[in-house]
Amino acid sequence: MATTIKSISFKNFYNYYGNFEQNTYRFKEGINIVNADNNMGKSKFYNGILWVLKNQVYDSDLKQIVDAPSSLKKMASGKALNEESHFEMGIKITFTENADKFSVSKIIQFTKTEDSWKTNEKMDILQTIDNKDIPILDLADKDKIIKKIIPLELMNYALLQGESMEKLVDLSSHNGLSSTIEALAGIKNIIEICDICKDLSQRAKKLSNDKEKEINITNNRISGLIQEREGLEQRIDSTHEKILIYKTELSEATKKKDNLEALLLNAQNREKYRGLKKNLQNEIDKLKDRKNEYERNITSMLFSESAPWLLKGLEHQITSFSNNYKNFIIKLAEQHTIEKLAKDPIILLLPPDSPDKSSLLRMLEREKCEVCNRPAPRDSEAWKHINMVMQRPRLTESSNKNDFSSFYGGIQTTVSSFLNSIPKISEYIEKYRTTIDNLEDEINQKEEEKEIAKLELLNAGGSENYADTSDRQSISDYTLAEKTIEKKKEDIKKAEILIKEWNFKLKKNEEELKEINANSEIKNYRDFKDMMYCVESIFLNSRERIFDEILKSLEINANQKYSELTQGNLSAGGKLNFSKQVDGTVQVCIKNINDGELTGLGTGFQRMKQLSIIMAIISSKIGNKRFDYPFISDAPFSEFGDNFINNFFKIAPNVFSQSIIFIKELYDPNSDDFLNDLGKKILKKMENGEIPGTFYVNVIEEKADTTNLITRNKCYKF
Amino acid sequence: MDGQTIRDRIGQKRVNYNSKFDSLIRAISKVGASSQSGQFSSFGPIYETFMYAFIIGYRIGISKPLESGERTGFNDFADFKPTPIRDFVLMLLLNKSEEFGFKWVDLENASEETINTFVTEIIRQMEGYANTGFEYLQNKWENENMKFRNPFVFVNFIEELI
Repeated sequence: MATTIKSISFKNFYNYYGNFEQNTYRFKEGINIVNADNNMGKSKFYNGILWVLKNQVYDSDLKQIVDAPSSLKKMASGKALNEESHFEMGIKITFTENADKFSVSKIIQFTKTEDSWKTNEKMDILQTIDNKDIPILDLADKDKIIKKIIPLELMNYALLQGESMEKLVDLSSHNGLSSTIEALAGIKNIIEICDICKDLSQRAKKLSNDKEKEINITNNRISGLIQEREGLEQRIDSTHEKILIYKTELSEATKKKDNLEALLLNAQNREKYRGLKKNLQNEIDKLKDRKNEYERNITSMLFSESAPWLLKGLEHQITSFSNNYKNFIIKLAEQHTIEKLAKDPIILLLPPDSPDKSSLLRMLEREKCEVCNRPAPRDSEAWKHINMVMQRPRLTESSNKNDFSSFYGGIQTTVSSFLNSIPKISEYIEKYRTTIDNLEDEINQKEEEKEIAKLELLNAGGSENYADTSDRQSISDYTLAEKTIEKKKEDIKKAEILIKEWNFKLKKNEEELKEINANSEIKNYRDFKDMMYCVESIFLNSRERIFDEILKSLEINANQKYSELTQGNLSAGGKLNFSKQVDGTVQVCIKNINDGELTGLGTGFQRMKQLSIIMAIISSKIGNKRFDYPFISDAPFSEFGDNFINNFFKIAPNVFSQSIIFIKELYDPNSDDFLNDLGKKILKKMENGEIPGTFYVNVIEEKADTTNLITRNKCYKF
Repeated sequence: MDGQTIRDRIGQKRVNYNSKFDSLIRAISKVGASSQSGQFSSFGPIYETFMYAFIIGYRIGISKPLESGERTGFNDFADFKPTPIRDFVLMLLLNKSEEFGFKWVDLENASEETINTFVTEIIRQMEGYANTGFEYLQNKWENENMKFRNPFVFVNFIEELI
């Protein structure tokens, strides 16, 4: 085992607010899982490692890797920035390399000045020897120790982000692959010798040619042959240079084609999620319009004619008014009564219309009082009394200057309609608020769905800013790249034929020169030139052979991993085929049982192909050397089904002695332990010892915006 | 004088607000082209804003009648809509008429001049309560402006005073 990360701690790093002790993850050999939902610190954790190893971070706003010093403020905890004027932000990684133990702390001190933040970086590295921590002070030594975590040449394969996995396994880049294979094989010395031999061979050739020219300056025939040879050699050299240019162009076109291939593979998904996103946006717009309409209507509800919210709680005023009006009528009646009583107290005591006018008229006509049943002859006292009762003034007739009772009565009639509606206003407002809240919830729900669709679109290689036509553009670029590849291959072929012809002529030229010019001094120069050429060829061939052997070994190893990873899938995944290209790069394709290229496999299979190659590269054992480093990956399974994930957990411990995986596919926010069924199964296997490693779940203690978010971890298994 | 006549007299009175609240009123009402709608919840015509301020002042329970020189007229009382709410406003003031020196029963025998004074006082008190309400809103506008971003702001202010 080369390197094992023992722990990683954060201090005020993104949403890992607080000190190192509060944000420590202890790891061991096997699989170390950090399970977290979106925005709970997976990519931030990954960024911490990237910061230490490459001084870079992935900026989720810019959607690209940036140099960390330009992003320091974004890396600091929003809560710390808001609440403190001086604090430290950083990461601490402890690891072992064989028997040696190291601790790397990278810390930025933040101090608030008037209008900005002052930062100061420090990097402390300790090596533990005999239980004593020895600080490493030399910068070059510090750099070497950091590279022990993951060597630079393997970083592209051991430090991965799922979404960019296709681009990371860069077998089409000559430099990328060469440096990896060279590192795997330890052939750095051979490469250096090759370069030296080439230089020596060229010098020997020049020396021999110059000498030959010098000696035969007077011989026209020989001079002519030498001139011809020089012309041929010049053409061969310049054509070799052209071939190098063609190869570079070929390599670039191949890389472009591969990148576009990955994009095209997901075009269907992109179309699906682009459409989904668009539909969701339409729904969101409609919901927002409805919500805005409701909100705009709030002030008009204040003045609603049936139940004006403005009058909430004022129903008692209607009752008061009603009482005032009643009192007014009584007082008015009292006032009138007193006036009338002064004139005719008895008559006025009779209630109005009792007896009614028609009864009294009848009594007068019949000359009989029907009240006391006594006779009342015309013009008698009794008859006159009945007549007076009939003629009595009405109580309601007022002698006042004004009569405002209809004014008050009219108001009472209007406002009494509110007597029933005002008590219900609270209920109406509550319902209205609930309606708006529900719309808001619905909008948020749709926004979340849209965000998921957006992530899926990004995962499928889409871009938020790309128009729908970008896929068509990709197809056109792909066709162009294919044409370029064909053209460059042909150019190389033609150039090589030319070189072959010229070499043939050159050989004849050399033979003729040898025959004509058999001078012993020249012969020695020629022998030396030939010998140096042989030496150069030997080393070049050795280098090629080693490269081919490693490639073959990688192919076997990658296929083994691929077969294990795709085991149990109903769809057959095919076989990985590594083929060396004319430009020295390697193309990996998936072949079916008849050796035909297998196309149309989903993104899961494509990523599994890449993962297999990564596994093969990282775990390659070449000669006596084993390259075993932590495999660290953020969201590697975003396109994988449960079967792939299960297979990965099954075989990964056999491939990588340590892996640290940030994953959301095991997360369930609605479960008490935040684990879905697959998460529970994997945890159980870890607890049973079937899968070695640790299991952490990130949680958010309190719902907050990104600025104040605090992530904490729960260790389920160590 | 009968009920309709006094109603008409009150309705014909011009209603004023304190000129110092001009910008506040413009900010929270849709006044012609200077509508502020969209940014926050706002009223329609000024009489709505005025009636709202009146209710706020009435709930606070203090009438601060306008001084001469600080008055900006905007509508006759009869222009206030809807009619049931205008009547409610009138009802609230009539409920307080004794407090400002007029008993209903006395008005029955009051002279034309007294009735005119009463009508003037009704409008004066109405403006006074609205003045208190506008002061309250101005204070909120200056010190708790964020509250105006909430679409329920004017409902919330009413609920705060219940």
